[in-house]
Amino acid sequence: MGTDPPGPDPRPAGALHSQFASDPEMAEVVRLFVGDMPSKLAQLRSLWDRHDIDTLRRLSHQLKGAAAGFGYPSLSQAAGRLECELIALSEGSSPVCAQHLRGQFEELIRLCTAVAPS
Amino acid sequence: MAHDENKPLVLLIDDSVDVHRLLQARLRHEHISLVVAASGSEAVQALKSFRPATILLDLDMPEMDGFELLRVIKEDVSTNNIPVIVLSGLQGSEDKVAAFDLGATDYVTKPFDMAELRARLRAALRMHQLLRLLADRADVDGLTGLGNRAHFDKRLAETISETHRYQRPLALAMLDVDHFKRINDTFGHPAGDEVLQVLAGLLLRQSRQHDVCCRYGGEEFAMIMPGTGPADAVQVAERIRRAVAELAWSRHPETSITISVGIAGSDGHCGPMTATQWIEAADRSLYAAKHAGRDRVVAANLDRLVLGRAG
Repeated sequence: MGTDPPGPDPRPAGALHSQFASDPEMAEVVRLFVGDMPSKLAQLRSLWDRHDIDTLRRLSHQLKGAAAGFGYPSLSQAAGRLECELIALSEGSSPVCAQHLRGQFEELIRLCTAVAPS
Repeated sequence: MAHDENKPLVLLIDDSVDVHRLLQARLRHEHISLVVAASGSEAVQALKSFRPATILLDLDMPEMDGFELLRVIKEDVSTNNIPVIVLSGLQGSEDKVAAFDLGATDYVTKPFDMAELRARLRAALRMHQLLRLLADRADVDGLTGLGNRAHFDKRLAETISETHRYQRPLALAMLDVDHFKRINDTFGHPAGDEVLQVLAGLLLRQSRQHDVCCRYGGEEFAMIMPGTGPADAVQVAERIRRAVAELAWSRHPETSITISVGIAGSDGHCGPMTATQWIEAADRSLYAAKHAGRDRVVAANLDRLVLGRAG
């Protein structure tokens, strides 16, 4: 998206733990959510590289809807911000700054990486 | 798709596996059986095989989105009374208005507040239960507790359709209290009502589990007997006729109550017949029973004519 050179690899800012880490009702599903994160990361990067705005928007939308439920509200918020930018881009409803969009994407990648198992 | 039949079924329609897992965990302690569909088309197939008590519906799905699926659900008479709670990350008021105008019962935005979602789900399940009670009441005759005329018409049409499709036996009995006007004129309408109530109770006790007993109107009752040919129907009707004749009416023990019964039956070879034709055939038999002296059973074998024994 845009013509900027590739940004630096996102460095994890420390592991991100679920707010429900000590909730026995949620232990198994949080584990599954975390376990799936490498796959989601790969998918996000692939969609970004292919400029597949619609599928990237859908994946962001899904993360926005689900992540807070698993105890990652910051991940939900970041996914929601990226979704909004992608909707604006696809609809042409307002000008989208390529650098800003990239920043939102990288923030989501950073948080997903922080969730992913090390 | 196995589920606990003692718990109301809730169908979750969402393309996100994460949402499936989240709600399966968070709704585990609710008194429900949660079934999931990952797409609109999968949900349409699922709704052909079971009726959930409530649907949780995501809007943003590929191919068939939630709006289109909601339209399908609400246009189908077999599903349009199911409460639908929309679960959506779409937060614009236009999306909410569109969903409610399409028939959604409630709208919960993602990410959910789980306590709120549970409360709204319980409210939707209560609404579904009330709607079912209302539908059941609409089908029940207030005096006797049997199915009413509307229920009879509906069940007869369903039974005829299935009988014709599989060429199964079927019998329809019309039962009429003899000299009912005399009972009302002599003893008053409350007494007449009591006779009808007692008769209804006897019909339920003497009929079989799959028979459908209804109050057809006034002093006339109807009994749909699926899987029953004319000979067996005569036996059932005779048993009922005898039980009525042997009834001791506590209010007026000097008065005997009798019924006449007209049956139309087939062993599955009568060919396609409408509900009206079935009723007219049973009514002709009933008229023959009245004309022959009442307190008797007359049956017409729609494959060939058969006369039953008199009382």
